[in-house]
Amino acid sequence: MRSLRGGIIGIILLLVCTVLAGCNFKDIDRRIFVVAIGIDPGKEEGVFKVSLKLAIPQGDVTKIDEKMLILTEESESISEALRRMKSKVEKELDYVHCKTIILGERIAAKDIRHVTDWAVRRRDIQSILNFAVGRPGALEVLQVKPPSERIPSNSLILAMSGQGTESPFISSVYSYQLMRNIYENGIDPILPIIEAQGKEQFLIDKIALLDKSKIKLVFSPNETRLFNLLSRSNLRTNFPAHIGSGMYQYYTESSSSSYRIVTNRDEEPYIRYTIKIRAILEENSTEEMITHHMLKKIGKAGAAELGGAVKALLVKIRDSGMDPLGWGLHYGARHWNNGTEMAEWGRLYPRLNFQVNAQVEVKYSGMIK
Amino acid sequence: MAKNRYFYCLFVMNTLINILNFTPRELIDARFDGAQSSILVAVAVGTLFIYLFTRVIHKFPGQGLPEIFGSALPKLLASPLIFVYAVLWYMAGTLILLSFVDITLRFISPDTGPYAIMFGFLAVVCLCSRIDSLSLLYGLEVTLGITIPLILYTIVKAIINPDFSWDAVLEVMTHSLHAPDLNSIAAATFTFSGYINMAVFNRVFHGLKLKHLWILSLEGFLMLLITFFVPIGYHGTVGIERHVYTWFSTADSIRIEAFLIERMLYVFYFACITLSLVSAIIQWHVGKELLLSLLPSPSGKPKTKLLQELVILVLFASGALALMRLDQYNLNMLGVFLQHIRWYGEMLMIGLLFWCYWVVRGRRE
Repeated sequence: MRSLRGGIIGIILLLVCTVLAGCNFKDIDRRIFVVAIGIDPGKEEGVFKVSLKLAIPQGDVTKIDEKMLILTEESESISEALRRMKSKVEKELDYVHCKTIILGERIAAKDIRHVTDWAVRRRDIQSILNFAVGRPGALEVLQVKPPSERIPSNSLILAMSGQGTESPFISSVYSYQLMRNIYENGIDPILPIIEAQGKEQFLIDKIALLDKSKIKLVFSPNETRLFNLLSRSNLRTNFPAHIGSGMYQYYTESSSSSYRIVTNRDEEPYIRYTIKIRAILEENSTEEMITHHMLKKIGKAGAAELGGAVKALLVKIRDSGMDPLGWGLHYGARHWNNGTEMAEWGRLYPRLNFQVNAQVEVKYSGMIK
Repeated sequence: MAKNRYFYCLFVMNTLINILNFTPRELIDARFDGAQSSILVAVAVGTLFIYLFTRVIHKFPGQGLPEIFGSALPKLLASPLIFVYAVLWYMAGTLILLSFVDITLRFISPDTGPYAIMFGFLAVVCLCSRIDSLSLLYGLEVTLGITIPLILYTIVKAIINPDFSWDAVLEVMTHSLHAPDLNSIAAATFTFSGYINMAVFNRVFHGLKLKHLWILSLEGFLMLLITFFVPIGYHGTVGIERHVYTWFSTADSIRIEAFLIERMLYVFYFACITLSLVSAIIQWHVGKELLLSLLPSPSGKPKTKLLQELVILVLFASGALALMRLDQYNLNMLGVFLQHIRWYGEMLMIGLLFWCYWVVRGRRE
């Protein structure tokens, strides 16, 4: 009895093994990893130029010397270009470790939905990969190879994820967020812009605003930083405060922002933003010692300056007609008249006013007074 | 003899695997017309079903569905009923396997052939569904011990993500004022239908007593809310309808910053595959036991029993392989259809059990 059961189990396991060996599983030394994809418009109209940045696996981690390869192919469709590229390498292209998709600026100025749909639809491409706009083109950004980089494309991954540098000018957009905001009513997608500066350096300090499909407006670095202050908490940055001829810079230890859309019948609708910042004094252009009184004054002056700058940004966003901060969705989420709320919001939006209540509390004067 | 806590295990197993496929899909399809109220109705109905079922099954200590039906119903009625229920259970298990083959192909190993994956699953499920009921319950408890922390981790991580769109969740909440929708109710009650496996597992329970029913309904309610709202927070109120396996897409969108693996998908997949294989094993075990009860019992001849089990399991496996020809949309339709049938089947079973109880008591008096 025992032996019979054992025999059956053995036979079944053997059968399973033969099936498993038959499938086309490929070992790691027969794969080549795509770490970034760049998509540009091709020479002809309606043609994509797809570039892949490939990392070549190496055995010994301590002796790693960055080796990478960039493949480029033009075709009417992205998948066709990728299939063609299979004949340019001897190993199987593996997209599982792809962490970045760069859209050339000219693609982003036309329509990003095709590429987004492709990236989300492909089953072996992650939903947590960064989308960005490449300037002047995606290929140029892929070709950037900073001397500090040891693993191909790692510099981009580190910069975008915030695991390396924590720049207040960088904001990352994952593909699921892009997909969500493209289709959602009442919020519009944004994309960070990566500029290639020569072959060894890139610059990520701008955000592009899109109207669901294409770039409509690009923020300056300062506006980008203010936008990041509004869209996420605990942004690490510095802001200026001017008192008389003296210039002070404070570093934000913690920051938070919240807003309320106020629609009273007897006054124009407005959004009240509340920004709270706890800060440390970082720079002082005058020779004066910082007193307690002075600390308060810096906080007040900083708050006034910040409030003015944020208000200017909000007015600029409103005048562009886009909604990157999701006010429309926020409005819809708090109104129960689902049939009419979006139309109502459409009428409200151009008339919106803004009140910015910035509270800057400078807690310390730094190491010296 | 099994302790009462194994009943809770059976229940929790179902609430967790409902995340997998059909429940979130049906609820999300109806997100603008009545999914929210359907969830409330499903909680009430589900709790009522559990209450009635445990009350009546308590009167039949140590008996499974075949014994109860056999003692109280005419054989001409009992046998077809048992057969229909066996097919239902078999289909429930098969559907889980089919969904998981599809999920594995999509998210984990696009290069592997679907039949290779299916053979692997079938080997595990067929071998394990032959284990006796009590051991299966012990196994289930251990599996839950491993997977519950992982699933909780996924859920917590999903909700505390700063990119989670609470506005999208609130926007869907404002669509709550709709009459409930039958498809959604049928899908949502699946969360509560773990108790139904007691049809066979009651053989190892002697006098099930249910304490703290409200814990079960609360747990089911919370799981339904999570099942429904978390994917919406990740993929938006409109974008969500474009995703096929909403929960796997959601897990794919969660990033673990400080761990060996970066993608939550793998953690979630591991937990889900473990749980759904155990669940498929339990469903097939119930299906197999029900079918066995229809065959002449081989008293004292283990070899005949082995042969009978072998025939049943080979039939099960070949059925599952045949159903692999269904495409994504057919599979979904079959799933929705089965959710309905299962729900009506549950109602019928509870009714029949009360009828049996009435007959048996009448005879005694």
